[in-house]
Amino acid sequence: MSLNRPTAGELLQALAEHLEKVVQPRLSGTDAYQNRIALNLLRILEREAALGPQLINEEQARLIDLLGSGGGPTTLNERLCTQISNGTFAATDARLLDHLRRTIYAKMAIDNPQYAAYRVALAQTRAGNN
Amino acid sequence: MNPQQLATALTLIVQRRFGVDARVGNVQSVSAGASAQTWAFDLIGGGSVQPLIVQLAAGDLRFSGALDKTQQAAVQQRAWERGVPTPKVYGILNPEDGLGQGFIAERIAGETLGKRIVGAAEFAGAREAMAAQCGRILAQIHAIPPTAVPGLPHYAPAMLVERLAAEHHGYHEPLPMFDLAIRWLHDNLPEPRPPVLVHGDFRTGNFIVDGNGICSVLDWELAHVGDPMEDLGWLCMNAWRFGQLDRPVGGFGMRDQLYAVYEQVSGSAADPSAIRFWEVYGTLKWGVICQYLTFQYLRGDVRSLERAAIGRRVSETELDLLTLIEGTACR
Repeated sequence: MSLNRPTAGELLQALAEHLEKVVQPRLSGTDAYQNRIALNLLRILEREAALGPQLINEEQARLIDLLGSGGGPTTLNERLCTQISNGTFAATDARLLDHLRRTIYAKMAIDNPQYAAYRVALAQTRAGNN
Repeated sequence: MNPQQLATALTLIVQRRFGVDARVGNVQSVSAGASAQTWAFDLIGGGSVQPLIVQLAAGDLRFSGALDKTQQAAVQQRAWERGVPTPKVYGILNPEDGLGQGFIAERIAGETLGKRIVGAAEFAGAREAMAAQCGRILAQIHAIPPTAVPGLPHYAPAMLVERLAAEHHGYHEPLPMFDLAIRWLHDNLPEPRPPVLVHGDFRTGNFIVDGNGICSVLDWELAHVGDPMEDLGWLCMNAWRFGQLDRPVGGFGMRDQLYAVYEQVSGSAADPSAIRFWEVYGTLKWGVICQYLTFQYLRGDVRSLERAAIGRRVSETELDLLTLIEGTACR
């Protein structure tokens, strides 16, 4: 089944626009602060609707490759945590660090792409790849 | 509680302490934090008006190792007596007061918002002075005898890492970066040094600032006994720079300024490798605190949008941990 338009991402965008343009100007103090949090959460959900499925698939593929075994994202991450804790992976393992970097960048692209340290890290990685 | 109910309760409290003529006016909510609610009010009596705050415990929810309001007030009062710039404590609430745990303290004017302190033009002069002020204040705090308040938590660094790891693993949210950081911390424990009184949350956001710099240090809830370098590392964490990455000391200053004054006043060396350990530890701790706040929401203890939202800030601490451990972070 295919749901009718608008898509989830488009609905989230409509909600965010409503909170920003209609609701926000009428609020002050704590209410204004709370509404900005709500707006920020809708922006996260918008980015998640657009980017999430692909980034989660890519993470899962990397985990399967790194661990040499299959499973869902939670199981795979739990297995990786155990293998980091018990020393199977060295803290300096280049493949591990590369996986962590890609995974954390993917989370930042959804959670907070404006985070200053993310902008700097992204620029450093791109400069390093050129 | 609404301002009217609080005013009624506060009036009885101040009359018991300051005499029957004492009155309470202008009660306003300042903030409702993770483990406290703070109200501003004026104490009116004897022909003068004194600006005060009352900080009350918000339920029994406290992060692992955090002090209750009575202990917190005791540490703050000891610090004030030793000349540390922190609000004077005017009274610690007792059970007859009927408001639960809490304390009344001096209200000090100034800015506390991190973003404004690190960025606004009016604080440019303050920012010049603040790293050195931090060095001096930390040396003062670390000179307070760690036995000045009985019963403060005291754990060796390895045990602190263990406790944080247990807290994180209790949420059953697998984060490989956190487990890598826990490993790194165990492999890079600092050299033991004589324990001191550690503020525990000495950072931008807990300073009251005016045009000349720091007027007052707030929030002694995470005070404990431990390695003095912990306070220096916590102060330099990326999370408290509010985007000013090239100002590692709280988003306003440089390490050299902080370390030089700290060494001069305390007579002890600032140890960069121990400070790096505490930055990694502090970043992990802040990440686990964000999880703790989020799980208060998810478990139904605190239904607030703010609490729900903070879980999506854990990824910031994962990034900060990665760059700190790899050595690519702005330092």
